[in-house]
Amino acid sequence: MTGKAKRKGKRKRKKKKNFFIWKYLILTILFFSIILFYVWERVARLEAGYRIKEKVKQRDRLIEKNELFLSEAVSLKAPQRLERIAREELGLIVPTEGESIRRIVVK
Amino acid sequence: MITRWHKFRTFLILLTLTAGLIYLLQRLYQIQLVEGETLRAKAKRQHQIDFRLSPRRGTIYDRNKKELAINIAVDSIYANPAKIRPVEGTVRKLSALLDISPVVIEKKLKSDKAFVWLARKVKKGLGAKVKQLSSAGLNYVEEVKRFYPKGKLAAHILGFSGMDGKGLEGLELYYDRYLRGAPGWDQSEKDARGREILSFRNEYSAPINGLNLVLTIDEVIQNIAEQELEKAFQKSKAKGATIVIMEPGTGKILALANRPTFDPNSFQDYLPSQHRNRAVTDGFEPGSTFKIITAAAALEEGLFQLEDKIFCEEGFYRLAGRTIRDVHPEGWLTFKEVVEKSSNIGAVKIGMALGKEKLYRYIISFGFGARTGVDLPGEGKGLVRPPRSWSKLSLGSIPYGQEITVTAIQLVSAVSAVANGGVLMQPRIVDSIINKEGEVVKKFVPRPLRRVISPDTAKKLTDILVGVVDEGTGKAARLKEYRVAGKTGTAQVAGVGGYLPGKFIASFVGYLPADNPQIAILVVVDEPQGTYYGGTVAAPVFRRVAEQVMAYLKMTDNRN
Repeated sequence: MTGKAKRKGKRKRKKKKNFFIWKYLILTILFFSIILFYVWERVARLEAGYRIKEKVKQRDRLIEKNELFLSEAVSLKAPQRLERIAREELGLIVPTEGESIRRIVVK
Repeated sequence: MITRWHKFRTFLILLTLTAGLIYLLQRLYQIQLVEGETLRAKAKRQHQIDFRLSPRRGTIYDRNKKELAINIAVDSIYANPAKIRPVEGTVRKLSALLDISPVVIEKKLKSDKAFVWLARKVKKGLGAKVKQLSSAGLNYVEEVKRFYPKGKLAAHILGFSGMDGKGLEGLELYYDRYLRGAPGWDQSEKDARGREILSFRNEYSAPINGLNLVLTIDEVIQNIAEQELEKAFQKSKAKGATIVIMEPGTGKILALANRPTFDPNSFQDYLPSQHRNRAVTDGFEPGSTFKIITAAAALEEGLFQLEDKIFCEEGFYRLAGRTIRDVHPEGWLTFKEVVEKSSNIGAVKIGMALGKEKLYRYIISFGFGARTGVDLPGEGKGLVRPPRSWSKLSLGSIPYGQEITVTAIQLVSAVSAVANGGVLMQPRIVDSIINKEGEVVKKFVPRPLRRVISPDTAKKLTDILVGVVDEGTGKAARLKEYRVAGKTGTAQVAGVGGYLPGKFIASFVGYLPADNPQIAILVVVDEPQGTYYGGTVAAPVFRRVAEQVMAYLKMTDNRN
């Protein structure tokens, strides 16, 4: 075998070797990318789950607050309370039969 | 060359490896088979969540969608007594915070249990404050509590629900299957900080909240009824009192109240007898109000006309060895006057003209002796014996409301039948069941049970009952603006061995406007002190209630 042919063979082997290195490198990068993507996706899902739970908790707290405000509003509008205020604080009375009542209608 | 030393070393290594293997196998056996179940459960507890999600109980509204029963978030505080140190200091702080006696708290904290409730369903926010007192040993859970924002208003109608959210009395009990909803489940896993990992959720089903009730009750009318009943109850120092207001044409109950009463928010602080809805559970002798039924039967059978004369024996009448008396002795009275002046002797003679069988038939037809089917729990039937069990004296008692017991709901339903032209309606207290969006899931339409008298008889009877209020014993129920039809009742209270001296039940039942009745009202005052006549104790309550209710209905009609 001539020296030229030997060099050609050497270059060919080197090229083949480089190709394998690149191939493995790309595959490794791809593999790790998939792994990283998988981990990132899991972490993102986890984080999203925590955020959803937090929002659900916030919603529940708002519902509770709403119920509390409703209970206060309804208690304040209880007819026995309104009657007590009307009679004791405002000095109003129930009109007796036949007594005319003037109503102011605001339009 | 293999020396003995080599052999010994090989043996030693093999021995060590075998011992190690045996130890590992033993641990494997121990962990997997002996402690396997416990360890699996422990691991599950550490990383698994298994929650029961409680549904919200349905809201109860009045007929104008005003809330009568709602839910509020509360805290329930618990302790692990073994972890609380020092006990004395914690007891003092807890007592101040929870407003519970230190003795009660100390007793709970000295318990040898690992879990004790310190306070259930207390104000929201208290749990967090309590938790700050001790990092270990004190904690709280969030719960939902039933809240009755109007306090005692309509307490006997609404009833109450217990700690577990289950209906125990009133509508809370009767409609529990609609109100309670269905629980949900959350089976998932949690991280080291106890937070749920949603992506690891195994099973989740959301709780289904209870349906809402819309009542026939009007809270304004209910309040008027309660206020006036309370005044009468206090003034007469009575043992009990009841009022029922009904829409005669539909059988819808607009208000129902009893005394003594209770606050459903703290029902456990009251006696069980105060929880009882006397209007539907308790039977009482109706006395002269029952003459309405006797007169209705006689008119329907055509036995008497309004002006037919009946001799009332000058107030004393002997029948089967017993003397029947009238409070005001009368001679000849017309049929109309017998009812107006409430003559017992006249009523007995009408009853005798009817005979056992016919009188009994009308009593049953008007709904006495059977449950009305009102949608409230614990309804009583009253007591109506069949004619074969009547004694010779029965016709001398039943026509004016003795020897028979009725419930308030039966009596007001029967009188409503007269008011609406003769049709007995089933009394109702729930108008509809709606969902969260306000869509009607179930509607209860007015249900006529049967015709009990003809419209003509009903009209004649109304004229008589108007006479009772205008000319007779019920003058205290008269209103200037409306014609009122009604009847007074004063019944003796029966006890062991006969009627109890000095104990009476005063009542008044009526409706208005007499020509086109919008409301029927029954007022019953049980054992009033001092004056005890239906006309003086119950009729004024009727008038005050009727006056205010009619003004309110007129105002709401105008507004609409």
